[in-house]
Parts: sequence; structure tokens; C-alpha cells
Amino acid sequence: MGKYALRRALLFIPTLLVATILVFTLFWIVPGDPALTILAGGEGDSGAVSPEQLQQLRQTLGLDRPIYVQYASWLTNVLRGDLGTSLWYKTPVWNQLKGRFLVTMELAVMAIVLAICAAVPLGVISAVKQDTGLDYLSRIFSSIGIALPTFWFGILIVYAFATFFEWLPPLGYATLWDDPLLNLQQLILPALTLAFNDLAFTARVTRSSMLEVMREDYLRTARAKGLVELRVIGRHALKNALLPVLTVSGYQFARLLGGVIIVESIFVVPGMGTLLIDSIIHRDFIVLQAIVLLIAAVVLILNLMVDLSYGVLDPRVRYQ
Amino acid sequence: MAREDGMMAGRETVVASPLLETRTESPARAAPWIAVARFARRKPLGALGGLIVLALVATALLAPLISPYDPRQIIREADNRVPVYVAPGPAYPMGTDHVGRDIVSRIIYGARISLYVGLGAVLIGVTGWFVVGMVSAYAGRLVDLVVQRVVDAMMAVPGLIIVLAIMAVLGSSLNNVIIAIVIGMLAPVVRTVRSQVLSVKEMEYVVAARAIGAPSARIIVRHIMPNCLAIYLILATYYLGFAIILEASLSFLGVGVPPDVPSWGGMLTAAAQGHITKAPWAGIFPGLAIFIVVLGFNLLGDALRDVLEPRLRGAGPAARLTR
Repeated sequence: MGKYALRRALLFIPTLLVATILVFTLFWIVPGDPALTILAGGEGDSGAVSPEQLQQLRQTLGLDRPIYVQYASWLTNVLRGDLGTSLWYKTPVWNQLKGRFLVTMELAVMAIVLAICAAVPLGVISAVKQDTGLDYLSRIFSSIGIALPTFWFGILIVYAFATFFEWLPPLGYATLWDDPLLNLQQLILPALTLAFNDLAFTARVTRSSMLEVMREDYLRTARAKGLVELRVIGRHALKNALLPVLTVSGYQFARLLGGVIIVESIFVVPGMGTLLIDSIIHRDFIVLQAIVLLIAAVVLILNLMVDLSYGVLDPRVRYQ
Repeated sequence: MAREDGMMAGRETVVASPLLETRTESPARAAPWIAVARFARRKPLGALGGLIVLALVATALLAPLISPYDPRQIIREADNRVPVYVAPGPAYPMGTDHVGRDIVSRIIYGARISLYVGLGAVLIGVTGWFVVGMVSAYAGRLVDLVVQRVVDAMMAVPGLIIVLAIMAVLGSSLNNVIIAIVIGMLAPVVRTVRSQVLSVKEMEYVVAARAIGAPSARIIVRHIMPNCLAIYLILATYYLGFAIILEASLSFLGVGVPPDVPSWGGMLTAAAQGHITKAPWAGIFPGLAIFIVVLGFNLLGDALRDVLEPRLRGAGPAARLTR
């Protein structure tokens, strides 16, 4: 298993390289110049910028070098642990990212935990009571969850809480360590918004995976030897049905990190999402590149962890 | 092809619940309207999805006839007042928005934008990446390796981030939204098609065709493509919904279509900035439109998948969508 993990970890390198090269070339092949954006002040008019000024700034930023030189120098810096300096804010990217990264991760973890806690019971009930009213209800519920746009659901949640409970998440932001209660109040609505969409997928997968397991012979055996139904479902069926659920949750996490961008902008959460939109507007591709690298790394590590956990959950799985 | 239809119909009866009728004749052989009627009886939810899709198409086509106002125009009432955030009533069935435009007209015209983006992205994206996935699986070796590295790299980054980055580069316009969504579809479509072709490639009839010396092009066109047609149809249905929701997300974030274009997503931006408590109708109706349409495409896609490719049930391509 150690060897397998190592080999998989080594495969990260080409994947991350390709991902960053894709982003790098993306910004290169199309017209548009970060230096010009900086001089013109975001949306300002580019007519007032003199060519000399532009040339000088491009030189300072290193944008006049060929693209492969730029990429190579970026890569060497990253390997040294330096993610670069933001073109727009002129501060080291890592200083901006580290706090926001934790906020986004906290939000994503909260959402996925909420989603799994609700989805697994829902899926199990749906499977055990297959083709009854309860099953249809829970299936309709998950169809709705899949089609519901995250941003709309977020708006509706804000509206519902403001109107019916006269409560809105407190403004500003406190970290989990400074003030856990305040932090929870601020993040609970965005986490719920994210979780609802996720829940629908996970409940569906739990249901179909449970249905499959429940046809297995060992469940008949378990019942035949007189086990209580709760124990048959809980220990024998659910434990075996959870593998696909785990895989899907791994995928879902990547999706969630995308959804976080939208949810953060609705609830004004100071995470990576708001920074990402900012960096896109300012064409600050150093920041963008760092965010893509970080998110890709998290997704890859998570997928590896999911794969490795198969072996723990299911002793039949052998790694080669 | 006829043999394949028979096989599929047979497979469907195996997995169908005992409540459903278990006919074995092929639906494709019946007259089209009979096939539709049978589909509707077997899959009422799928038929509901189909109806929603038809309603969307009709709304988009008839927009100029049925919309009460010009969707881009700021209304001036008799006393020269601009009706900002007027609640729904007889004059404005769904109220007016933050600058005084009629919401129902914007929703009706928004159907055009959604359908245009959805169809454009699916025709270019699903078709294009379908070919790439097929070639990657069939050619194998170096081509497959390169394609798979790119797919892996793109899978590691959430689709929305890829699409946002592309929009940043291209700038906001209707056609750029389509380009961005097409690129965002690459990884999931290529991956789904590739795995399908890999399994079809090992089927006996393909091996037989290769054994009698049929050229690759003939094998792909005559044997592999017809057997991937169902997947194409299913993917196209799902991804229409996906493209519509992605366009709405982009416009919502302010990087999609320009603000004066009536996009359902763009109409929600103001609502998210705290206006929802002031004018709930402006935040509820456009979102409802997106929700119903996407639900329609998903229901239709689910039903098509169950009927055409029951093997995909439970692990359908929807599970790989990125939002």
C-alpha cells in the first residue's frame, strides 16, 4: 500500500504541471495585457496610457519575456515555496491566500459533513422503503436539489431567514479560533446552501448502492440467522454500500470548491472564491495561477485519500 | 441496428419494475407518435421533462409575440415616472426590476439566451469532445496518453473555476460564454465517451470486423458510432441543462453576458446584493425559471438514460457534472 501511495503521489506531478501550463498558456494566447489593466486602473480607459509607461511596467513585471521563460521562472519560484507577488495588490500571494484558504476549506468541509449526515440516512430510508411514498418523496427531493441553482438557493435562504426568523448572519468575519460561535453563525447559511445541492447527489448514490447490496446473498444469510433488521441494514448492508458513496463524496468535494466561489460572493465570506473573482477582474494571473495550483493539489490529495481508504473499508481491495 | 434495438428493449424489460408493462417489441419500429406515447406512459416524469423543454422552446420562439414590454427598455409611465421595484400586479405580472424594466418580459426573452447558449454549447461541445473521446479510446497509445493527461489535469480543477478563468481572458459576451462552457465540458464528456468506446471496442462484432480486415474508419463509422448514439443523446440532454445553469452562474457573477442582455442569471445579481428583502419577486421569478428548465432537462435525461442505456443507471453522467 505504501508503494501504491507513493506511485500515485508521483502521478500528481505531471497532472499539476499540465494544469498550470494550461492556465499559463490560456492567458498568453489571447489578447489583453495585465500591465495595461494595472495602468488603466481596472475598468479605466486605456487611451491615457503612454506606450513608454506600458513598456516599463511590462519590463518590471517580467511580462516582456517569452512565455516559456516566464513559466520556468514561475515554476522555480513555486518549488522554492514562493507563489509570487500579486500583479494588482503588489503583495506576496501567499500572504493573501493563507487566511482565505483556511476559510474556504472550513466552509467546504462543513458543507460536505452536513451533506453526508443528511444524505446517507435519506438514501438508506429510500432504499429500504423502495417504491413507497417515502422513497418517492426522497427521490423528488433529490431531483429538486440537483436542479436548484446554488446561487438562487442562497438568495432564497437569506430571504427566508431574514423574513421569517428576522435573523441574518452577522457581518464581518471571525476565525474559528478567535470566536467559534460567531464563526459558526457566519458560516452556517453558506454551508447549508452548498450542502443542499451536494446532498441530492449523495442521497441518490446511497440509494442505488444500498439497493444493489440488499440483493446480495449475505443479507439473506444475516436475516436467516435471525438478526434484527436494524442490525442487518446498519452493519451488513450500509457498511458495504458506503464505498461508492465515499467515491462520489471525493468528486463532490471538487465540485463544492467550485460552488464555494458563488456562495462566498452571496454571503460575503472572505475566502478564496472572492479573491478568485477579484483576480479575474484585474487579470491578476499570478494570483489566479496560485489558486488553481492550490485547489488542484487539494483535489488530487483528497482523491488519493479516498482511493487509499478503500483498502481500509474493504479488505478485498488490493493495491498493486 | 434492428438487432441492437431488440437487445435494448429486451434489456429494459429485465430491469423494469413489475408494475411496468413488459413488452418486448422495439419502440423504434413503431410510428413516432406511438413511441412518444409509450415513452410518456412508461416514464411520466420524463414526459413532464419533455413538456418543460417544449415550453422553453415555444417561449423562446414566440418571445416577441407574448412579451408585454421590450426586455431592455426602462419603462416610463404616464407621469414620466420610472417604475422601480413595483410589486407584481395587473400592469406587471412579475413586477419590475431595480432599474424599472418588466421582469416577465425579461424572463421570456431570457429563454432565448438560455436556449441559444445551451444549444450552442451542446452542438459544439458535446459533438466535438465526443469525437475526441472516441479517437482517444480507439487510437490508444500516445494520443490516448496525451488526451488523458489533459483530462486528468482539468478534472483536478473545479469546472466553474476553469470557465471563470476563460471568461476572464475572453471578456464577457454571449458567444464567449459558449466557448468557455464548451471548454469546461471537455473533461467529463471525453471521459464518459472514452469509457463507453473502450467497452464497445471489445465487443465481438468489432473484433470480427477487424478480423475480416475492415479499415479503422469503417469500424468507427459503421460499428462504434451507432452504438454510442444513445450516449450522445443522453449527454446532450444533460449538458443542455448544465450549460444553462453555467451561463446563469457566470452572468450572476457578472462575467457572463453583458448586463443589458436579459439573462436569467444576470437578473439575480441585484437580488443577491441585499435587494431580496426589498423586492423578493425580482429574486424569485428568474431563479424559478432556471430551476424549472434545468429540472426539465434532468428529468428528460434520466428517462432517456433508463430507456436507452439502463447500464448507466445510478452512475449516470450527471454525477460527474461540475457546477
